[in-house]
Amino acid sequence: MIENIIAIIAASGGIILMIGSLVLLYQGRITLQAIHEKVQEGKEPADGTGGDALAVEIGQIKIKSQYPTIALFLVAVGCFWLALQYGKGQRRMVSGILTDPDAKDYTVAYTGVMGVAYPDNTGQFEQEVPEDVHLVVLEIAKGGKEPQKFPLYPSKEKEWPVKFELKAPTGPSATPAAKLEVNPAQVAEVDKALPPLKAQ
Amino acid sequence: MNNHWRVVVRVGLALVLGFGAIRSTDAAGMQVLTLSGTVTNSSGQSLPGCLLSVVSELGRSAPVFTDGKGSFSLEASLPPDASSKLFLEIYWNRTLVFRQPLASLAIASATPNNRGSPQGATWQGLLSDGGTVVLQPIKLGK
Repeated sequence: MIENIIAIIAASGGIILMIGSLVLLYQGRITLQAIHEKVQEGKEPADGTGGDALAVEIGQIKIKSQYPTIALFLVAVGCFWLALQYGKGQRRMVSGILTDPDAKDYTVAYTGVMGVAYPDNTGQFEQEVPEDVHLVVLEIAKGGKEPQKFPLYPSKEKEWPVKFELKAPTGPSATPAAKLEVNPAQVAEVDKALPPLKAQ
Repeated sequence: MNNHWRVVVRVGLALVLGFGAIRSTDAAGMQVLTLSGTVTNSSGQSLPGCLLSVVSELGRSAPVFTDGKGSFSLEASLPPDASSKLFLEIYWNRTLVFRQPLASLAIASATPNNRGSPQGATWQGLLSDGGTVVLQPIKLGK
């Protein structure tokens, strides 16, 4: 929520600065002429402040400009950059460990986040999700096995990765899993590359 | 009114209208197709745990698993560009075992969003206007 407010303020600031600088340029209140040139012409008071329109020092980085228009432009760009950073939204890693001897055969679907993760040999898996997502439902399954759902509240979790234990099948699903013999003819060729199932 | 302020007001109006036009195009350009059905092997046994997704060169729907009875239901946003071909993909564990154009799959029943369309429940109408489709059982394997 606060990220959205900052993004809106920064974007509005950037737009106001850009339009404002164009208006001021049009009215002749600011010029494309450097400040030191104006000082030499006697149009600006030489008060000994250095005559910089912009002087920013962040650690080792020093930015100086004697051109007021460029200074305004840089400030506007800074506002847009800030808006972009907050507009993208922060992300967090949601990781888990599947405690199953065949963990690497399973697929984990992060429902609602449009992501799929594959556990490694140790059963560990991870996927980035937007930070403002309060509930992630993980669906864990492998071919022939009924998927099992695990709701997860990322903001409430203290320890990562979260441990997941699959329940032993009971009832009708305890019957032997159906087998599948792959038929390559059922996989159509495509002209253009398709997006991968697992987000890069 | 001062000429300079007229320019500022005109620029402001152009920006507001421009952003508004972009937003409405995005919101209106997407139609949703809801697909459901079952997945079985060649001997007719239902296949739970298959991962399904609708994909085109522009993007992919959120993947879903088939449940204990091999049934699935997934939603796919249709791209505004009708020329991009949509495929249904099915994965068995990490292996792609099925990829066919959506328009080639047999429909059991369908309800297009645009009921008044003369195209009826054909893939052409469903892929342009969206709707709900129940597919005939998909048989995987040899």
